[in-house]
Amino acid sequence: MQAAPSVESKTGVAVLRLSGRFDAYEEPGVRAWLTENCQAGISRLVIDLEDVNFLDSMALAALVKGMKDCRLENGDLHLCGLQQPVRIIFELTRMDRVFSIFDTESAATLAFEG
Amino acid sequence: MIGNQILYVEDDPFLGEWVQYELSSEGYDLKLANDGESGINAALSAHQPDLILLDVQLPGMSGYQICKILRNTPQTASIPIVFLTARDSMDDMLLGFDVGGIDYLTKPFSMTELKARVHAHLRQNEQVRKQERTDVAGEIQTTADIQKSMMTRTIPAIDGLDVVAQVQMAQEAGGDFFDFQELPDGRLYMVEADVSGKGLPAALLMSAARSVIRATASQGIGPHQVLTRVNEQLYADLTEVSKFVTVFMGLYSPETRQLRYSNAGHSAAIYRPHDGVARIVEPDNPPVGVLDSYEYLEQSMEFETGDLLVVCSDGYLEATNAKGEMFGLRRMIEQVTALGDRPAQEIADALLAKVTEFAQGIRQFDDQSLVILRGV
Repeated sequence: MQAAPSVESKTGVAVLRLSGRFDAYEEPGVRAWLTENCQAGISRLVIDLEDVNFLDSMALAALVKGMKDCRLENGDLHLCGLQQPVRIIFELTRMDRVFSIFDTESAATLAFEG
Repeated sequence: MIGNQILYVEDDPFLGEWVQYELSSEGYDLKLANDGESGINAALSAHQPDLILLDVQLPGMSGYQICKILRNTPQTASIPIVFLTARDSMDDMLLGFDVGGIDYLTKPFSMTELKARVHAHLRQNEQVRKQERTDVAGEIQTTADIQKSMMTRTIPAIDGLDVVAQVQMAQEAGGDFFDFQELPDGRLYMVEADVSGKGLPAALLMSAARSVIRATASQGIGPHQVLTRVNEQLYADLTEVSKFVTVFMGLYSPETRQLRYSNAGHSAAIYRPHDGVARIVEPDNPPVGVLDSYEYLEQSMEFETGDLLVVCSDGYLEATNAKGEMFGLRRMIEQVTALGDRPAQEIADALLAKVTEFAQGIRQFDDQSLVILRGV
């Protein structure tokens, strides 16, 4: 996981950028990041998947948990930058209708301001 | 015993190094700490000791206090502690046992005796651990047997349909399952499902999910209604443990030769009509446990002679070879196309053989399950 989390102080949105395979080995790190933010009261989160080429069901489960936690706090978990193989995984599990998915990180961040 | 780690908390450097030299020559890996704080930190480190030798008179915390702390800390509570001390009164010795030590040697001690005792305690510890491992392995095996018995019942024979199902768990027990249930009016429910994760936690949820689906389906309602109610019942529990269940649920009617189905994020389902090309049956719904109060949708498909439906879990698609390549959806569709005219059992065997051949003996990390329906 090449995590480069940054909290945009103006908007209160935290961003996590991932790369490579997002699977059972990466999942604990992502889960910890999601939990830390939610506990710190930051419930508007963006995960940038632009450099991710695969994710498995453990990864999806972590994202679903993050999304649920954020929505409980009136926030949300936005995803962005899905490459074709990852987009297909979201479509084949119909998770594409569960998450708010954006083309770019800035679109995913800006969407919180609307 | 070779390679066992021992921690010695001792503030006398000469004594420490002597014991280290002697026990190292026996093949033990002995680490020294010179006070309570560094001793406790070493006991909590990633390379936990198998045995702790503890002096009593130390700067700061006494050996008795250290022993109490280690006993009350879950991560260190089971590490055996042997006191090595110059305090040789009966009261001191009893206090040592009272705070949780398992042995007490008084200085000056003979090195031969120390080695013999260390050896005996480590052997005893190893036996306890072996027994614990055997107990756990037995419980996992029992879970696996229960799961197997759930899935080895004979599939009800149904007019106009050739049906086969199979499952391979990545570990002894797992989260994939299939199920069939015949209604009194002759219709047949089929379920192919995958609880996210694997091993015992997934197996436990698999069992719960299967029961809830069976109980709900026994009312004879449509697959989308079954999944809507199952989601209502399981949503909170699945949310609590951060899991979800992908389900393909079908209800086949021999009278109409139609399968009504609802696909909750289960991938992949591939349908090949006898006179057409294979296509993916895309899910209309997210998995169970993802969205609260969601109304599931359903569709239907025909089962004329030769029409084929293959529903498999992602363990088939994600079977990975030594080069890190995955079997993938494209190969799966090619295989279904190539095998389409054979009986269901032959298709199941051939698909498993293809996936196994692809993985070239690499151990797979996900369960693989499959249900095939073929119109006859």
